[in-house]
Amino acid sequence: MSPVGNDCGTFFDNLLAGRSGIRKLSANFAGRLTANVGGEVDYDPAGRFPRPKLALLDRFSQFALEAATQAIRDASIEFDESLKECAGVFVGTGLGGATTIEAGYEEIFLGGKDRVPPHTVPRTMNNAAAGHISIDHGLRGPSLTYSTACSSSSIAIGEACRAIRHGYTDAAIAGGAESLLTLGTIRAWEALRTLAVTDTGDPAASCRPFSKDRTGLVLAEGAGMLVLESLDHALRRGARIHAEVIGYGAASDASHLTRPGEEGQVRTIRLALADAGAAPDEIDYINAHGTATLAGDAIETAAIKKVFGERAAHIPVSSTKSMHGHLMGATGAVEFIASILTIGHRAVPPTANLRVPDPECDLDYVPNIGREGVAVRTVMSNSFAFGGSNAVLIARAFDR
Amino acid sequence: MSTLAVIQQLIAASAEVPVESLDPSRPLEELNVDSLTVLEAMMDIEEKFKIRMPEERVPIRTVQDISDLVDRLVAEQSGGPK
Repeated sequence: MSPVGNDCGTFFDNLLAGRSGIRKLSANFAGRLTANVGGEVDYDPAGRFPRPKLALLDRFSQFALEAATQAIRDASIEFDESLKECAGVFVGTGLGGATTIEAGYEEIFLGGKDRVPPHTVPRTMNNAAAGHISIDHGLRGPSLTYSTACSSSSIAIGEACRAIRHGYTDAAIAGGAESLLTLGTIRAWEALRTLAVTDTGDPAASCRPFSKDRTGLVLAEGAGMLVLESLDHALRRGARIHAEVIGYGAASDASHLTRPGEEGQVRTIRLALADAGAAPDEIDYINAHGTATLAGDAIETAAIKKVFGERAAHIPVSSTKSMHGHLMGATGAVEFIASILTIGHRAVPPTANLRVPDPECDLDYVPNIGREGVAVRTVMSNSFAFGGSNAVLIARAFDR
Repeated sequence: MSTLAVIQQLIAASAEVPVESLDPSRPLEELNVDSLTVLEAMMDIEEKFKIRMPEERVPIRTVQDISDLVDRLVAEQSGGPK
């Protein structure tokens, strides 16, 4: 569920074609904002859920449920009773039910009401999405929620892999969901001076990672979910395996709450490579964190160069945020899915809107035009979050 | 329309169950109406009858319980001193 498509096929086709899903926000408050673009998901929940259930679903949970259903369908996995008994749900989100809590505040502070709808708490809580997924599919293993800002869903996927690897479960639904395009949230981000200045001539081109004229990130909403299984379980049931998750690194900058740290990023990437048992020259594609902030892109570039040395110049590195925006707690999952899809498609998506080279960003960012016919075997996806909570995932094509 | 009938309609709409399935004397959970849905319907009921539910908890098990409570609150809260 993303601003560039609500299924994997459309999502990847749009990315590969360099089509941006960033637009002027449709909300009526858009006129009050300086940074008035965002990545909205084209989605109407009406008729998708029975009314009593819909009343309990904030938009982030709606996205999470839709994405989980798609993932389960794609995996053709049947959860029998013994699998249900241990199967877990691992979800990342930054702000959970941001829309619901803001609507509640509006009624109390602005509308002068003295109470809010009774569903406000169950809709808003960060673990609502994970709870709904486990209820809908009867998954009775751990239902866990990770909130590590921009790396939330990468952490969720990594931790799910560990739970499987360590034998706690044979299967898990893992990913992230976010829906925070509210006036209050956008204002808060605006105040941090990290949002992209709207490109008035071409709003869709407002997010320009690695380009010297980049001005910041564009907020977006959506969800990405994966079905993760132990290899034995997947082989036993003859699953179509998109890729094998071979490496996960999680580490902290331990330096500054919002400024990214090169040293921490280097360490996290190295941890993931070590976990994967992969040498730097085995990585064929990197989906960068690439938020399009001035400092962030330069630091990530430096970190990649430090780890990969000479090889860095030869790895295609793209920031798909240039097209789907920054989905915050969901972004790691969506970008990991984009990374995995490069393997089967033998194609890598571009970094869109890369107009002006920046001497501090001098890698192969696949500028503006996607590349087809690329032999991609091993992919890496970077997530570097506020709080210094970094996560890196590595996946590899699976050969039987 | 009687208080009971109006309440049945409001709960049926919130719970998406047929209005005729809402037997007034049976426990709500047996009628596929969960407690969160009842809370949601209560807000509509307050608005419809221009009443205010008491802050203390009132035991409600059936549609009839709600109807009796609403009748009592309407009597207490209409016309009385504010």
